[in-house]
Order: sequence, then C-alpha cells, then structure tokens
Amino acid sequence: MQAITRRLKREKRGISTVIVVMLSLVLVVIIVGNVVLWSYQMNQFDWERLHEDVGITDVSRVNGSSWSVAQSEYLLNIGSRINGAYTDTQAIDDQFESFREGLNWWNTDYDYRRQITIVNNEASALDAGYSICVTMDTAALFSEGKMRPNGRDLRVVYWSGSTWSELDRDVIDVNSASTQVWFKTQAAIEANGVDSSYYVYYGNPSSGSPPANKNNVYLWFDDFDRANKPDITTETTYSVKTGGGTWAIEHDTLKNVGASGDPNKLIITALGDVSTAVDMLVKIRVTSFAGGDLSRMGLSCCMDTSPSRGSGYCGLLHDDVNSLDLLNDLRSWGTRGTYSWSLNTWYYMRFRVVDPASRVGQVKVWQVGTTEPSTWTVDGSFGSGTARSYGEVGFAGSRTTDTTYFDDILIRFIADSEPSTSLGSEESQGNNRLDIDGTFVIDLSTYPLTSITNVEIHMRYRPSDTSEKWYLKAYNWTSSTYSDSGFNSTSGHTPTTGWNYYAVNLTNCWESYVNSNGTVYVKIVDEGADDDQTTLDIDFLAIRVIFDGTMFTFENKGSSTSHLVSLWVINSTHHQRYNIDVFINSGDVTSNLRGDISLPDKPFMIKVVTERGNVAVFSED
Amino acid sequence: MKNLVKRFLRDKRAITPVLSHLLLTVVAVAVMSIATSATFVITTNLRETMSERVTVEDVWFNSATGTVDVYVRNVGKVAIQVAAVYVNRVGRPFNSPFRLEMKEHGWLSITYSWNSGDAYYIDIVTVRGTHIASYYKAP
Repeated sequence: MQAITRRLKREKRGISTVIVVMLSLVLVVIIVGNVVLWSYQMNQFDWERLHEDVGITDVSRVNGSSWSVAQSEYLLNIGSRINGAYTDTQAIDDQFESFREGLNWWNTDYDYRRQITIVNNEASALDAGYSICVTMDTAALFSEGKMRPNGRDLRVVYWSGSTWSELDRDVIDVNSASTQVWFKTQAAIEANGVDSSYYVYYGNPSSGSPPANKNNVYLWFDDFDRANKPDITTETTYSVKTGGGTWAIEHDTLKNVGASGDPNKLIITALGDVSTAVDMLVKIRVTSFAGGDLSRMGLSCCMDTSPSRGSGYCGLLHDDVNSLDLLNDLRSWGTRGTYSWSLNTWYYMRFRVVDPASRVGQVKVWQVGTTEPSTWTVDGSFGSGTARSYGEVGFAGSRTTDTTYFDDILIRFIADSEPSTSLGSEESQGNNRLDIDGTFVIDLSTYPLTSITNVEIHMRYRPSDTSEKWYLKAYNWTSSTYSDSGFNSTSGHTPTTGWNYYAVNLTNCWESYVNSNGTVYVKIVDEGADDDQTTLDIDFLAIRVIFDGTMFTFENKGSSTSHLVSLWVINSTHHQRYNIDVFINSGDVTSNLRGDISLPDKPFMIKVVTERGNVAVFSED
Repeated sequence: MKNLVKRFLRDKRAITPVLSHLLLTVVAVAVMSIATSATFVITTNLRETMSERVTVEDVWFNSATGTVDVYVRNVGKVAIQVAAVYVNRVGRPFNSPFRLEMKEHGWLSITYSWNSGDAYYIDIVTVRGTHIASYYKAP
C-alpha cells in the first residue's frame, strides 16, 4: 500500500486514472444492481403469480337478504319499557323485550299535562338558561275542575331524554284566560331549532308548595324582602356603588337617597359583565323629587368604566314629572320622552338595549295594577355620544337629594327575535297507548338500492290484550312522516293468545321508506287509546330486502393471499364485467353476495380475475 | 503566501503540467457524464421492458359488432401501449391508441371478420416489444 501511495505521489497522471476507474466501477455497479434488483422483483411477482390458485366452487341465485335487526335501543314515544333489551329482539329464541302501554308520565299524582314546544327564531343557537314564557288559559281549567284555584298544582317539568326534572316557575295572572308561566330552559336550542322537552302538569288536588324561586326562572330577581340595612353594598351581590347617594334596604324595598356625584349607580355585581341583551323590569316609587336636571332615577345597563365606572345607558324619570328620558352617561342626552307620573305611586319601569352599537334604547313606565302598554313609551336613540358595549347592569340614582324606592327587580336575557312557544293538546294518564320506534340499516354495499325489489318487516310478538290491533309502519322519507301507505297490508294485525307473527312488505313503494344510506325507521303502534294497559312482548323484529342477486363462493388453494378484482358473467350474447374487491387468505373459502348481479339463463360462465392476472372459471351448463 | 505566488510566477515550467491535468480531468468528467446518461437510458428501457405484465381477462367474439373484443388488464409495474395486433400473424386494425396505466383495464376492439368454430392466434404487441399471444376459438 505504501508502495502504491509513493508511486501515485511520483506519478501525477495516476490520479486521473484512478478517478476514471472508480467512476467506471460505480457505473457498472449501478447498472448491474438496478437490473438485478428489478429482475429479482419481477421474478418474485412471476413466482407468486405462478403459485396463485384461486377457484370458484359455487355460484347460486339468492332472492332474500339476511335479517337486519335493531342495533340500538327502541325509542319510546308513548309507553314504557318493562324489561329486556333490544338485543332480545334480534332472534326468534323466546328471549324478548317487554313494553307497557301508557304515557311516559312524570308524576302519577298529576292527572293532566300539555307539551310545550319552543321554537328558536334566531339564526344562532339559543343558550340554556333563557327565560321562556308560555301563556295558557287557567281560568278554563279551574272551571272544569282540572286545576286548583291557587295554581299550586301547575308545574313545569323537563324531560332530558332519560330523566324528569321539575323546574322553578313563575306564574303570573293565575285564574285568567292568559296566565303567563315563566321558566328557564335547561338545554341549548340549535339555530332555528325546536325543543319539545318541556311540559306543564296539573290536576293534583293535594299538591304541595311548588318550586318558585324566581332566581331560577330569570337571570336575576330580587324582591328585597329581608331585614332593613342602611347600606346594601355590604352584600356581595350589590357590592359596588358609584358616585354619591345612599342605597339601603328599607321595609322590603331598595331605597335610594340621591346626592352630588355622577354617575350615581348601584351595580348588581353578582352578574358581572352581561355580554348579551337583557330586559330589565322594576317597580319604582319616587317620594321626594327636587326637579331639574339633577333629578334622575331609573335603570341602567351596558355600564363600563369610561369615563368612570358606572357609566352606561340609562332609562330615567328625569327633570320633571312629565319626562321619561334616555341618557348615555357623561356623553349625551338621548331621546326625551313624555310620561306623566306622580309622587308616592308605584310604577313599573321596563328598560332594554337590544344592540348597544346602534345606540337604540327602549323604556316604558306604567302604573302598577294597570295593564302593561304594548308599545314602548320611548323607543329612540341615546344621542350622538359614542356608542357603548354590553357591560354591568343595575340601578340609576338621583344626583340630588331625591328619594326613590325600588322593588322586585327582574332581569332576563332577550334575543333579537324572541323564541315562540306553543302548547300541545291536553293528555291524561288514562290514555293507554304504546308507540315505539326502531332503527334498522340495510347493508347497501351488499344490497345496492338498484338491486332491491321490495322490503319486508317481520315481527314476532305477544300482547297481553288480544282485543287490540297492532300496526307496523315505517318512516316515509318523502313525506317526513311515519306511514303504512303503499304497504301490502294497512289494516293492522289482530293478535291471538300467545306468540303471533305479523309481517308486511312495502311493495313497490319501498324506495320512499329507505334512506339513501339504507336506514329504515320502523314504528310499532297500537290501535288507539283504551282502558286496558296492555303489555307487549317482542321476541323478534327485523327487516330484510328482497332482491335478485347471486352468491359466489371462492376458494384459495394457493400459498399466498389473493385479491379478486374482476368478475365476469358470460353467456352467448353478453360478456358482462363487474368490479369486485375481495381478499382471500391462503386456504380460505369465502362467499360473496352480490345484489347487483343477476345470473342469466344457462348455459353461462363465470370468471374471476386476480390482481396478479390469473383467471378462474366456473361453468354452468 | 506572497513568496508562494512569486515562486509560482518565476517557475515557468509549472504551467504545462497544470494545464494537462486540468484538460485530462475535464475530458474524464465529460466522458463519464455521457456514460452515465447512456447507462440511465439503457437501464430504464431495460427495466421497463422487464416490468411489462399484461393479462387477457376475456375474449369476446362479438357477433353484434363483428369484432373480436379483448379485455386487457395491465398487471405490470409500468404503463403499456399496444403497438400492433396480429390475428393469425396478420396485422389488424384496433381502437388505437390503446394505452393502459398501471392496474388499468379496458376493451381492445379488433376489427376482424371471424367465423364461428374457428381458432385464431391473437398476438398483441406492446411498443416495448412484449407479446401477449394465445389461441382463442370463436364460439
């Protein structure tokens, strides 16, 4: 090596020679390596192809699918589940699921109920905790003897889908034709969605005190019914006042004595910053009024810290006993309204700002004991001052030595388009009915919609009462209702004692009852309400499709897994090719059901082609 | 460094060996580049030719159209294109150009007046020279 190195050092031309030789060697290695490796791969492919041995062992016609059974628990619309589970309805084996007629009733002490439907009219979700009002005629219920005169048996309950919960409610104008029942939603309602999970129950002559905590009905409520207190700001819920003046609890009311300062506010600190629009309602009584610009009292919201904490939009009795004005604190006076009011008289004041950025406010005042006006006394702007955002809420006090009393402050969220409510028809406990829905799915990968000619529903059941008919229906995706229109039988099935079989087929209307993903909703429903509370045992409930298909059986005798990619059906007039995607492990036999392949008349030939290019043939003479 | 440059400039004999080595290196690199390119072309062609695998899934002597329709699947590792089709060793027109990418398949329709009961030797030749040939008997 040393000799070679010395020689290279002496012989300068040797470097070029070495470079050329090395590069030549590299090239030779690349050529040989590339060709040899690729040749090896292709040889391996050919070897695998040579040893592949797939055969078709059987080809036969099939007319009906296997049963599609329930894969989840049945939905109880009316009635209750006694025992068993949906898995007990998947096979005929005397293992059954039992149901009993009757409504899903919250409390059997209550004889009647009406379902409340809430419609969210907003294009965005309505958060839980929204105060909802439903109006009903309780005077009529009193006269019919269905409700107690004091309304104590008027209850609001919520069905979560699995449990009942009774809600606090606020009943206004009981024993009238337009009684308002307020309660708070327990779940969000999707944009433009509907929630029918709430009910009013009544008809319990011995009901106890109802839950009626208004703080669970509204965002905020305070009647100030507690011991006198010279300074309410010692309470954590009202811990901040701004400007001058005093705020005290006196004779179950909130008392403000004004003084120099600006703005003079009492903030409901417990609510913090309220980030959406609210409706504020309070009783207000002025007992001492100096008059002039500094005399002002009312409600305020959208309060922030600019230019100082407590600055916000206000609705105020102001200046004289004929004024009801809007004010953007320390920025500008807004619309000046007119309302004649008197000292020492209780009035309701309602105030709201729907969109702070628009600087539009609404305020109205009416005397307690009179009907609330349907229109706003002032519906105008807060003037040209800079607009505000949502913020803290509370009371506005006078800037001079006026005395004002407040009571029953009530605050609730309001949407731009408030949700609408409606009451369903009255239901009573005596309505013994059963209405259950099951979900079934057709395997469209095996039975494509194009191959289906009909769908059948089969049920094996045992009712305790044989005098009542039972109906099988399905959800019609075209009309969006459950129906048996177009079924081969629409007259129901009258059972006998013991187990009964009931089957219907959907005839050529089946397409209306099968969703594009193969879903079929099936309903089992009784004939109608009766006095017998029937128990229904279901041993088997399933659907199957009728089609003209073919079952192919393949066998892999080779030593490696085979992938079938083409299927041919050949006769004297047609050579029809179908895609197939089936893997068969070595030594396995597998069957492949094809609803889209209809065998021709004999003689015919079936060929299957593997991904490696081998062909297996099956002939039928 | 300065001394090195001066010495290099004084020694006129150094220029010729440097030039000769430079020229030799340039020539060597050029030759090897040509050789590398040629190698790439040769091995690519060789590899593609080795990679062609084609299967005939079905042959349909179609009486309705008067053609011989051959369903061909490319099971190799390179795209193929049919250059010529011979029936009984005579070139016949077909739906040219007929090209199949890897794992593609399709009908190759050969215009030929066939007779029922006769056997035909159909030879499909790709542009790389691969032959897919066999006897098929018309029904």
